[in-house]
Amino acid sequence: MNKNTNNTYFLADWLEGKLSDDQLKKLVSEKDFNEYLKLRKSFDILSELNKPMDDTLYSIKKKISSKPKSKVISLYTKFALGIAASLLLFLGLYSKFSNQDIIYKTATGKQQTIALLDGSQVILNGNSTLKYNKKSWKNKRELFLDGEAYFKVTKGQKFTVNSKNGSVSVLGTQFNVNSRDSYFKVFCFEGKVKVITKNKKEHILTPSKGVTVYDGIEKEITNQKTKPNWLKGEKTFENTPLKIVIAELENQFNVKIDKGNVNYTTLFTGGFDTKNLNLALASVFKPLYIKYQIKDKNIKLRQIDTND
Amino acid sequence: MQNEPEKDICKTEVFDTVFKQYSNDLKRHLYFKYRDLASAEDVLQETFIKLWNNCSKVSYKKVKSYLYTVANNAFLDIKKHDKVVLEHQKGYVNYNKTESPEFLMIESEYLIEVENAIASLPQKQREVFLLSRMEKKKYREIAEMLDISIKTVEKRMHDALIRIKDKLGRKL
Repeated sequence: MNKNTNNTYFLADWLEGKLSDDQLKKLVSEKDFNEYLKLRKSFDILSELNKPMDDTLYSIKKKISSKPKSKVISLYTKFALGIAASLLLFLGLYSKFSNQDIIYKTATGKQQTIALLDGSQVILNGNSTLKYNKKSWKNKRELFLDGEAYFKVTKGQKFTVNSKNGSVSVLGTQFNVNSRDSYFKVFCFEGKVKVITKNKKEHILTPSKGVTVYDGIEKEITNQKTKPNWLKGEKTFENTPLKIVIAELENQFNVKIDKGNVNYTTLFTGGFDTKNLNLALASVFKPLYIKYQIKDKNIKLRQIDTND
Repeated sequence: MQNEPEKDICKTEVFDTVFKQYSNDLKRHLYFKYRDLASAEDVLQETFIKLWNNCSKVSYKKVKSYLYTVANNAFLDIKKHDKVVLEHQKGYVNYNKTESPEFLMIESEYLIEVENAIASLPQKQREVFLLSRMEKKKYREIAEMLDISIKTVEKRMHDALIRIKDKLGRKL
C-alpha cells in the first residue's frame, strides 16, 4: 500500500483531471494504479447509469412525435396506403393480363403443337392464328381460330372454337377446323361436334362427318379418315374450288401463284404432298390439264385447251 | 378481478411514470447485458418507443415484464449488433492485458461492489464523492454548496478513493 498523504491530495487531483495518468503511475504501485483506473471507469459508468433519464425521455418523445400524431393511426394509414398501392398495381397487372390474349401464329408451311391449359391439344397448321383469353379460359373454354387447326379436346366443359365463318363447340373429341377467308371446313374424327355457321345454321357432326362452307354454300361431307391428312404431310380436298386449293398451296409452300387463265371455280378432288412443292403442283394441276412454270417463289399457271 | 381501473399507458402521464419507474433499472440491466453504454441507451429508447406504439395492447400490470422482454429481444434487432460484438471482443482482449483504460472491462459484479463500497463510505466523504463522481460537480462548486473549503473537498475525495480501493482489495 502506498500511503502517499502529502499536503496535496493527488488522488483528488487525478480524478478531477489535474493530474495525468502518467503522473499518477509514478506516485503509486502498478497494482494500485490499475485498480484506480478501473475504479475511475466504474464511477463513470455508474454515473451514466444512475443519472436522471430526462434526456433519454426527451429523445424518446422526440422520436415518437416525429412520426405524425398517434403512431397507431399513422401506422395503419401507412398500411392502408401500402395495401391500396399494391391493389392498384395488382389490378393494373391483372387487367393487363386479362386483356392480354394468348396468341399463337404459325408461319407459312410450319406447324405448331400447342398444349392448352386444360390439357387439350391443338396442332396449328401453317399460316394460322389461334387466340384465346387466359383469364376467361378458366370459365369458358373458348378460342378463336383463323386458319386451320386440329383439336384433340379433353373431356370437360363446352369447348368452343370461334372463327369468322362460324363456331364449333364440343365436349371432348377430336376435330379439324379450317377457316380461311370465306372457306370453312370442320371435320369430326371422334365424339360429337356442333357447328354453327356464319349463316346461323347448325350441324351436328359425328365421327367421319364434316361440313364445308364456301361462299355461303354449306355441304355435309363424309370421309373415313382418322386424322387430318395435313398432319401426315398430305392435304386432301373434295369438290373444293380451285381457289381454295391454290390458296392452300400458297400457304403451305410460301409461294405466289398467278392463276393466269385458270378458272378458280373449278372443283378439285384429290390431295397434295405438303413437303414437296414439285410433287404437290404435279398432283393438283396435272389432272386438271394446267401447266405451271416455277420461277423462284412465283408460279405461273396456264390452262391447256382440253378440246384438243 | 380488481376494482381499480387499469391505468392506460397510452396516457402521457402514465407513460412518463412508467419510464421514471423502470428506465434506470432497465438501462442498468441492458448495460450489464451488453457492456456498452451506447447500446444500452439505444435499446432503452427503442424499448420505450415500442411500448408507446403498443400502449393499448400492454396491460399496466405487465408493463415491467413487457419492457424486459422487448429489451432483451431488441439486442438481436439493433443495427449496432456487429459493433457491439466488436466492442465485446476488444474488451476481452484488453481485459487480459489490463492496460488501456478506455477498454477496461468492468464486470457487473465489480460494479456492484464499487457501489457497495461507495455506500459504505463515511457520510461526509460519500456526500462529496457522489456530488463529484456521479453528478460531475467541480470541487469548487461542491465547496460552495456544502460551505466547506476546496482543500476539505479534495481531502475527502482523496480519502474516499483510497477507502474504496482498499475495501475492494479486501473483497476480491
